[in-house]
Amino acid sequence: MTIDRPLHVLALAAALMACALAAPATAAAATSEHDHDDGTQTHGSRDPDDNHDGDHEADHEVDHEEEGHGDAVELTAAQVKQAQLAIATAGPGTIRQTLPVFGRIEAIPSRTAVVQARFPGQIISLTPDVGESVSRGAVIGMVEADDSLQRYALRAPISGVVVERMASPGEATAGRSLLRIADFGEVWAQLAIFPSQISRVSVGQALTVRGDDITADAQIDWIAPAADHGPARMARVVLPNPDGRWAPGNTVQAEIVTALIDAELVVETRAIQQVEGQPSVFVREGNRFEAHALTLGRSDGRVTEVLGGLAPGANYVTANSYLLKAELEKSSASHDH
Amino acid sequence: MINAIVRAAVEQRWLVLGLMLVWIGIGVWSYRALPIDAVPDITNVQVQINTAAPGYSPLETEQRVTFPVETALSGLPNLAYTRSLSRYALSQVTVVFEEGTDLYFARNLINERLSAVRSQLPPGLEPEMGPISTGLGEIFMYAVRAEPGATQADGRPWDAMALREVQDWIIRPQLVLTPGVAEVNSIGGYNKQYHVLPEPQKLLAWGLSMADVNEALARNNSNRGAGYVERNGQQLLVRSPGLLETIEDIEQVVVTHRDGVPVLVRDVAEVALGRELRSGAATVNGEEAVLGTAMMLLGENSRAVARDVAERVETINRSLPDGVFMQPLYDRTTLVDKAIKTVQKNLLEGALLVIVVLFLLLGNVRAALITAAVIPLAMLATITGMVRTGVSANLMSLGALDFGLIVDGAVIVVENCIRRLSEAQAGTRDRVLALKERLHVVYTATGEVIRPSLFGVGIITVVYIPIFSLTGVEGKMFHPMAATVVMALLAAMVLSVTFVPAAVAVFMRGRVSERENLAVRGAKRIYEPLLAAALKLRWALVAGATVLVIASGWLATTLGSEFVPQLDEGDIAVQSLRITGTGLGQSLKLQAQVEQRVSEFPQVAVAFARVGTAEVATDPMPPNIADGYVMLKPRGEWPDPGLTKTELIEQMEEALEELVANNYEFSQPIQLRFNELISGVRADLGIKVFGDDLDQLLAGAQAIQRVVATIDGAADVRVEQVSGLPVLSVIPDRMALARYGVNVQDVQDLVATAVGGESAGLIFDGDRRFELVVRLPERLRQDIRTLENLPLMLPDPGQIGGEPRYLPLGEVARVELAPAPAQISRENGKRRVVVTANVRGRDLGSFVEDAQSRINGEVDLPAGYWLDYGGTFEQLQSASQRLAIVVPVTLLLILGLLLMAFGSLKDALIIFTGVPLALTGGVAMLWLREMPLSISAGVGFIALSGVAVLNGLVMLSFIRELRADGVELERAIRQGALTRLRPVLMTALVASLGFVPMALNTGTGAEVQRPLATVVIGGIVSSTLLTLLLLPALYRIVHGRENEQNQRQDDQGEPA
Repeated sequence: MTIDRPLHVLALAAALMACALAAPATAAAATSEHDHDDGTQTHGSRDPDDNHDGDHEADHEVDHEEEGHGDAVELTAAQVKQAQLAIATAGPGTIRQTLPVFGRIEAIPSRTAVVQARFPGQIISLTPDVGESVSRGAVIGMVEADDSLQRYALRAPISGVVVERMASPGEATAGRSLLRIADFGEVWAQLAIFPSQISRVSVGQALTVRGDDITADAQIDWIAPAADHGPARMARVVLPNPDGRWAPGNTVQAEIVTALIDAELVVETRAIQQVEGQPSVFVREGNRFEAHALTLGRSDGRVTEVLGGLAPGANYVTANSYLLKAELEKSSASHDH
Repeated sequence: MINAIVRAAVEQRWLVLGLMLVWIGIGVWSYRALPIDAVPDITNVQVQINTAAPGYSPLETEQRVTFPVETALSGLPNLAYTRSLSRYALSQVTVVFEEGTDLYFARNLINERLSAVRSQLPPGLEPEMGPISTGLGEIFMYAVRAEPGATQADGRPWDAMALREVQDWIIRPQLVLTPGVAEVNSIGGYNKQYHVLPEPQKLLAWGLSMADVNEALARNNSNRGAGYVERNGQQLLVRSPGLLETIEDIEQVVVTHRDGVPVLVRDVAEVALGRELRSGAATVNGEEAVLGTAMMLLGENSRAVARDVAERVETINRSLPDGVFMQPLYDRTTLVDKAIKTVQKNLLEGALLVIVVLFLLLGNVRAALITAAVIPLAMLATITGMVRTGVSANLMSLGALDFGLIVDGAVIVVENCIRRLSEAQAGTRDRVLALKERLHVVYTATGEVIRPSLFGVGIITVVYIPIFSLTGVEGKMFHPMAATVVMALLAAMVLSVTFVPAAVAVFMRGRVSERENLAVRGAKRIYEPLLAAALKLRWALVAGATVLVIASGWLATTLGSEFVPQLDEGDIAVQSLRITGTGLGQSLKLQAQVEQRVSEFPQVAVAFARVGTAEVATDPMPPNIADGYVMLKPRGEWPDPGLTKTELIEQMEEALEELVANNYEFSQPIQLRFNELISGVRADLGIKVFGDDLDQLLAGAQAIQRVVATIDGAADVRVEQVSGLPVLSVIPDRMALARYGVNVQDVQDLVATAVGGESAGLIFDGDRRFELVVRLPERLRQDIRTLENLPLMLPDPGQIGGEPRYLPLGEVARVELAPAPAQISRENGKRRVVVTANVRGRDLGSFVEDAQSRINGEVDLPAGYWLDYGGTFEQLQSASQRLAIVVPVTLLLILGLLLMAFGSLKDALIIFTGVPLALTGGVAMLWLREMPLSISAGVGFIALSGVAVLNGLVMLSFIRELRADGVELERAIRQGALTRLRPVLMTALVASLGFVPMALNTGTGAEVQRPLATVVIGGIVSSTLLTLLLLPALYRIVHGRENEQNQRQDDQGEPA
């Protein structure tokens, strides 16, 4: 009788200790279970071909539907309100692809003229100073010809502004250029188009040119056939410049509209989230938001063409769509050290 | 020898009492040095090495920083293991040392290795060791706030950046000086920076690059000393100040000259105060805030330090600009005070109860007081011991102290002395005992019981040994508890052979009359018939007891189990987890919602959170994770004070579920911190895959996941999240680079400067220093397409005129968005990915075996990849292996002690039966109070076994003495049992009553002690009842047979 007692004590004591030590495991299990019960219907793992839907996942509604990849988020009305989701309807839209480029303002060669003396002689007078405007045909100076000693008038070949003056009265003309007159009523914007961009740019495309405090809409007029200036080819734009705000030599930025596409189905780009590695949008049906994997076409950064995966007229989430992605994948959120 | 000591104590009684004064003195002095905290520190000996690597992605961080640092650390003495993680802009290597390693020694070693590795790191990166603090270190948190409407000196309202400046340059330098503070960590707001934001178009117009701007700034921002001159005997120092001081100064810096015209910074860029690219932020009640955390130095007294910090905060508050104040959010003192109050209350009430019982049962005030005096004396000795051994006073270490247990030895001695003295008194009639007689009586009376009493206490001490075999977290929690109890018991043991007899000899003079008071007489009257019945029905009694033991064994299996009852810290920590890749801004918005929702609860005083990583990366959280703290109001201010915390947490969880995109983990501030620091695999089974290639590792891990998931009993099989951080890669095209003669570095420099910003020096404002950064204007940084069109200046400046000297970045690099590793974890210098699994409804050991054989058979890892198995099962295995040895050894030890005491195996075994009987009561009590089995309860059972043995010892030794005197068996049993009723009742009563306050207390920290106390009370009741009845019966059975044999032998012997 007394012999078996200590053995019993031993067994019980060991059992007690074991129970106590087994506890951390239970506690850990309890926390991870908690992760699963958060109202999302998603896999315990992000492994795409995971097929271990064992007992422990049986209680999660794993939706597998034909359309999309079946990941959905079910929210309460309060949650929807709190999340401040914005909804838009998928439909046709215009994709406006643009290309930002840099360029310089240059004077148009045909609009500059150099005044020279027709007959060599001595300059009697040369009126306009740099910066003065002259109009075409106006007398701007007198020269006394060396041969005939006749005085004749110098006339402005074009209307414009004197940009350079190389001579003064009393000097000999000696075949020199005397004045340079330029007409800045129109200027060129020479835009640098680099090899990787050239295929997208063609004559006639609309663009917006931005200077320091001026913006103008224009068209591409001509594209240089040769890359004379370094690697870039120049695309030429004629800009009217009545008040002279486009100053030659200035650097400008331009945004060329490279494509204007009417797409049958577009979604806002901000709506697109990567779900399981696939670009997707969340489609709203009541308070259920299902991720639809999309085949995407062209995009302009604001809207993106949809080639497949979404029906026209679908209500999809635009603003705060990230929250839905986060909600969908949150069971995987953990703090690993 | 014991007798000699007792004799000496009695003879030199005044000396002994005098020594007690010294004893008290040492105790009081030690008390002042005793570290007091709420919970034991369960942090391992670890050093964190953080290297901030701004702009480095996880892969680069690992390759350039983590790997060299880790490699340098290999082979350190006492190194247990290293683990590391590499994240965006942060490399953290955690070095864990063997238990018992001196932290300062460890840090010295690391420092030595780090200085060697510095040259291998990229320039500018500096590995730093984390603060010398532990999991208990975060003792004080505060927010820096501005009163509504308050404005800065220049009229602007206080914003997060300005408040952060106050925190960094006014508060921190003062607060960090508080003795005992290791570090003041800041999070939230923005470090003030001066930003130069060049417009690409303007740069292009002047043909400048961002690097030119950077260089110009660097060349125009320094002071120079130029020695001294002597003039008329006077020495004049020469210097040339040239530091940039204001935004205007910066704008005036000349970048270059064009046609005689200086191009100033302001011509090409905007200069403004800007925000750093921060990795962490903070919120208070849903609003952005600046948080400071004071961290306590290792081994300091958290209560004292937290108090000092709070005082310092008051002082600093006065030095802050008008309208700015520090709002204390978390103060450890509150918790420690509450916990200490609980312990004090328990101990005081326990002590009082013990004194009352002693008085009632002994019927002698002096005797009761002498016995009770053992309590403070033992306590002081324990405190001295705690200080010497570095055990801090906290709920756990003081939680198992029962003054009843402590005085048990003394009770037995005093009780016997009184009995003998009064007997001697009765023998002398009216004459007062002479001194010599008295001393002799005391000496002999003490001698009579000292052996069983010492053995009993010794046995109680021995049963605590298994607790010392616990390792890891359990060990850290319970070692101090066991150590304290053992120290207290040892002190009591010493006192009961020295102080107690001496005090009895000194104070029990005059007429010692022992009145058997009403209680004792009543008890004896009830006990006598019961004992008679027990002896008669001894077999039935034994059978009944056996059934009871078996039944309670079964009952024990139906109780739930938990690890350690969680100490209620009074506050809640809510960790909000979002998916990898969530930006800080988004995370902050979500966190604000969480806090607003939590603040709606009337029980909540304030809610605040840290999102991401603080300045000192003591907890390297990515921005998608937030550590939220919810400070609760005192219970009295709740609308429903009866609401339990668990219910409150449930309500909160429910409310928070309404917010999308968050996952929550509820815990408590200290608990959270411990989890972060200890962190390892917290699942039952962790299978670590080691190797080089991340994709391969992940593939291997997923293969293992598939296999393990099919094993019976597997639950929550997961692969560690390593990927999923979206990364925008700017990949240089080498062909294109070759065409244009551009270097890869030119491309990288451009991207780094444009997006991340490049430091161009510092702007000083007194002590304050702010970084001067060149980077793209915010509106351009945000746009990915801008990146492709960013002009990259060509290296050859020979071309002139209208010819472009630049390329758009897209010409020579491709911009790709792809997920990349969010974090790279390494262990012991190798990359690893962990597959974790829990086990349900199956024995863990066989599951692990199964998993191992299945994985070996089905998963084929390439060469250079290997597995390691870890997880809770490891601890469990090692713990059960250890316990399988230690528990039987302990039991054998007890048996050995009993054997030494009695020299009879039979008697030793009889006493041993008290142990299972004691356990029945403990189990029943747990069941009654609906408490689960826990380690706390287990410790209770351990203590209980000791008390049960003590009971039996007291009773049996007396019976044996009587038998030795030749008293007949049955009479000896009766007489012995009746005489010993009082001490048995007394030791039992004091031991159980001493725990009553603990069992009933509901204060902070009581939940840790409650199971222990409950078990002991229940167990003592059952063990006492059964000792009183079953023990005599058993003795009768065992020795009855012996008697009969003897008689038979005698009968047989006679005729021969």
